[in-house]
Amino acid sequence: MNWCDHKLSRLPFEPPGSGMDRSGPILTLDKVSKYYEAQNGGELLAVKEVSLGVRDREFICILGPTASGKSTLLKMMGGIEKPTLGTMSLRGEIFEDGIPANKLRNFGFVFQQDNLLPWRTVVKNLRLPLEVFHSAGHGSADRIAEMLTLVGLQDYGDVYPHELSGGMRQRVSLARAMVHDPDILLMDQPLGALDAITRRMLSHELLRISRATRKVMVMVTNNIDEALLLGDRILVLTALPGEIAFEAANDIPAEARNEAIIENARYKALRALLDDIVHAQSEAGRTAGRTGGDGE
Amino acid sequence: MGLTLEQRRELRRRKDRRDRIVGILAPTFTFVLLLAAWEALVVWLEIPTWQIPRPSSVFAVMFGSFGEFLPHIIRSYSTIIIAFACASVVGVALAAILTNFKALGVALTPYINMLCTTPVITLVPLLLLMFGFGQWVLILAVTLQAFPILNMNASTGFNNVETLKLELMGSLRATRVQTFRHCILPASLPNVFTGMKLSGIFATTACVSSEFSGGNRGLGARIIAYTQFMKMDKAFACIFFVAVIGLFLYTLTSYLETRVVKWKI
Repeated sequence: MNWCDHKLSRLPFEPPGSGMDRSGPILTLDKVSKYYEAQNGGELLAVKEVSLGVRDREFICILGPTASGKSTLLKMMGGIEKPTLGTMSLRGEIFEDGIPANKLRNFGFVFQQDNLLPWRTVVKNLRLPLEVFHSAGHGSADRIAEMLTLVGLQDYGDVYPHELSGGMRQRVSLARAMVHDPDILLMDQPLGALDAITRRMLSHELLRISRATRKVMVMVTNNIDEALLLGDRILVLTALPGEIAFEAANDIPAEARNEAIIENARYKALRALLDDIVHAQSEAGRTAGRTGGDGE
Repeated sequence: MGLTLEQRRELRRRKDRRDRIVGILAPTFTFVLLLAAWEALVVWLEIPTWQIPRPSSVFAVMFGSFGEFLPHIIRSYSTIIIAFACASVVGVALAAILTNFKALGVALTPYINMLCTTPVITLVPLLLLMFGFGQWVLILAVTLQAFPILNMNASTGFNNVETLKLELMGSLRATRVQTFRHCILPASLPNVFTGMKLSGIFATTACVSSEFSGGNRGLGARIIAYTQFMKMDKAFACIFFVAVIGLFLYTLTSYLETRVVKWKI
């Protein structure tokens, strides 16, 4: 059984681009690759020739086996890492060497662990991006209060992170990523460090927030249920070196994406399909690893 | 847990208060107990005062002859406090520079560590020969002994900030100065305070041992002089005064730490 047949297969899904939104992409990646220096002095290819266009108001979910370069891809999109090869463009402006520093205001980044600064209260954590961007003037208190209300933590402004539960901390970090009003929210397995119940609760919370703010969101996840609940478009990466194995639009209608989504027939079908694809990629990654990793 | 945040904070405040009271009472009790044992042993074994004085007579001398000690107390305390302040500034500033400019760090760190392991008492005669008997020579010597240990601790802190936190600053395109101010320095404060506590101890011992080896001023010099004249009660009084400043610096740093590093659990 050769699962590489799935590469760019679009049969069971509505093809990407035929969705509700036809405007041009905000952020584009054109054959972006990333090499790391490996321990043995050689080079490790983490991301291989990924091309992707992110459209306005779109929610993209990136699935993939562990160590598939998902996080690296997201970090390149957010300007934390520079691509080795390939170009990126933001609203038509083309950049050869990654997203430059003066454009990072357009992005908000949510990390896998909450990554709050433990020496700052919740309000002061939300102030951090504003301070760094030199925009912590008047009105910032209102903006911070607005964000805390959005994530339902308006009463916890003066609390230190260690006094909050894991789920609450991650909601603060979501608010922090949005406080400077970025166009694009990048989330690196934002729910990955939470227990199962909190995780499910927060994924519905995320859906509500994405609908309320209508921001572009790109989320890396290892959870298919989350991807089907949240994603307008779903990408599956291969094991290292990560390249796009499968890409398709999610055609579960918005009104069906609620607590009852697991009963939805389309959901069940897509879930089974994605499950197969992701498993096949993990399996292929393990085999390649055993035979010496010719992909490196 | 069904407790509100306010209730949890109140419980914590109560526990902190209990801990603080025990933290003061228990060591005081030990102190009194030790002195009582010392007093009893000296009386019981009939040890002569010129060998080991009774603590009660030491305290009597500390207060009775305070005027005689005062100039030396001022001299030693001012040396220690000024040198400790200089060492704190130099230690942290140097660590910030050395961890930011890797080549400089690699070039200088071994020699700073060497300074830390060399007893300053060996340098003092040399320094006195070169610069005379001024107090600032001692301040220089004590600073040299006290700053490297702080520098080592602060550097360890600055170099070991979580990558994830640095990536956060990177995602906000923070400048180096911003990253240091908002992320590296606050994250390393526990290490900095540990370094400061050690540096206070180093400053105290370095000052007294420097005074042993040169001049006739300061508590160190008096300890030598009184010992030579078998005035053990006065020698012990000087030792107690040294202990007081050492304890003071340690307590001051610990207090500052609890004030500044409130977020640590």
